[in-house]
Amino acid sequence: MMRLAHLAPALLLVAALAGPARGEPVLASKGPYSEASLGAAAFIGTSGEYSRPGPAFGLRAGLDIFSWFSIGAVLAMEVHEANVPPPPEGEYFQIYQGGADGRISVPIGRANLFGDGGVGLAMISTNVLAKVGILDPGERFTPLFFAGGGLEYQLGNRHYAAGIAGQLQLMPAFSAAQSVAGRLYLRYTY
Amino acid sequence: MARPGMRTTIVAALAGAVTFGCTDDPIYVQAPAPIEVGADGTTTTASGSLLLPIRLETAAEMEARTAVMTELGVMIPYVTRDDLELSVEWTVKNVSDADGVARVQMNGANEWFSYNPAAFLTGGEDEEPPPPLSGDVPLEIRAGEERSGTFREDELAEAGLDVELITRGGFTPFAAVLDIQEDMDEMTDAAGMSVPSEAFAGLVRIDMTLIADRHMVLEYSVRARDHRDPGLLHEDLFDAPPEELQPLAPAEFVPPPPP
Repeated sequence: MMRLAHLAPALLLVAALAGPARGEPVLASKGPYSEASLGAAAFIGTSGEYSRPGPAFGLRAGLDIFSWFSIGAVLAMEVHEANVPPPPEGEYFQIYQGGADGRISVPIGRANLFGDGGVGLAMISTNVLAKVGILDPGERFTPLFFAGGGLEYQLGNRHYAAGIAGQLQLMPAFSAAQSVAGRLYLRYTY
Repeated sequence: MARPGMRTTIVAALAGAVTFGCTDDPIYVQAPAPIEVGADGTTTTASGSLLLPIRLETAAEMEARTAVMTELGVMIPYVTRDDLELSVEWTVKNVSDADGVARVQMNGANEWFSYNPAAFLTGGEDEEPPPPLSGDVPLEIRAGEERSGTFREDELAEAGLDVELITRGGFTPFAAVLDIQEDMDEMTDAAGMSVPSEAFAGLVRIDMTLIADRHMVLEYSVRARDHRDPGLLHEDLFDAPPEELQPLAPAEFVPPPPP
C-alpha cells in the first residue's frame, strides 16, 4: 500500500506524458482554457543597466475561437532588483501586467508552433527607477505592448499541454523600456 | 474541473496578493542635495535636511483629528508615528586621495519640533552635546572608496518616539535616546495629560550630518512605506506644486532653562 502511494505521482506523470496507443489519433480539447507559467524576464537597453533579471509568473485564460486562433486575458508579475547608483541599494520592484492577446497556431504533429501579441497595462510597484530618469515623478502606469511566440506540446491527456514561450515587451511610458521574457507553462483546456 | 467555489477562492487569493503587494510598496525620496565636507580642506562637518513632501490635509481628516483632540484633550498630529514607516539609506564616498574616518549622524523633526543636540549645550567648558537620534559610528573609508549603510525602520520609529519624548514628554535626550522605548503605549505631556501612542507624532523631516577628516560626500535617500489611505506622500514628491503640500515648519526644540 505504501509503495503504491509513493508510485502514484510518478504514474500520473507517466500517464500525462504518455502518447496515445499506436494508430490512435491525438485528441486535444478545444474551447475555454487556462495557463499558468513560470519563467524569467530581463530589461534590455538602457533600462537593463538599472535593473537585474528576475523571475516572472503568469496566468492566462481564454477561448479557442478556431483550431488555429485563440484569444486570452493575461495577468503577470515580474520581480527585479534595481541597480541604480546607491543609495538606495539592493532594492526590489515588481511589474504587474494585465492585458488581452491573440494567438495564431500552426500544428506540427503533436506540437503547435504559435505566435502571439497583445496590448495591456503595466504598473510598477515603486518609484526606485525615478532616480535614473526611467520614471517621471508620480508615474506608475504604462501602456503595454507585447509580442512573441513559442512551441506547445499536447500531452497524452487531451486536456493538458505544456509549452515554452518567449516575448518582447514594450512599456512606452517608462522611457520606452523594453524587456524580454521566457517562460514554461502548463495549459488546461476544459 | 475545478469547483466554482475553488475558482472563486483562487481568483480572490490572486487579487488579494496583488492588492497587498501594492499597499505596502515603498516610495523612495531622494535627498535634494548631497552633503560634502573637506572640499576646502578645512570643513569637517556639514548637514542637510529632507522635509518629506506631505500632501495637504483634507477637510475630513482635519475634522476627524479635531474631534479626537477634543475628546482626549491633547494635541493630535496630522502625521502620526503609525502613518509612515521610514528608513534612510546612505552612501559616503571618500573622494580624497588619503584614507579617512567619517561619521554619519541622523536627527529629525516631527511636524511641531526638531531635535538638535547642539541646542542642549549650555556653554559649559568641555561640554559634549547629547547623542544624535541614530548613527555616529566611526567608519574607516579608504581613499577613493565608499561605504553604504541603512538606518532601519525600527531605528527611525524609535527616533520618532525619542523626539516626542524629548519635546512633549520632557525627557532628557540621554534618557530618551539611550533607552529603547518602542513598547511605550502612552506618555504624559508637560501639562500632565496622558498622550496615547496613537497620538505620537511621526518624523516628517530627516536631518543628516556628515563629520569627516577628509574630502567626503554623503548621499542619502528616504524609503517610506505609507500606510495612510489616501497616501500622505504627494505622488509627485518634490515636483508637486507647493500649494498642494502641507506647510510644515518644525521649530527647533530648546529645552527649558534649569530651575
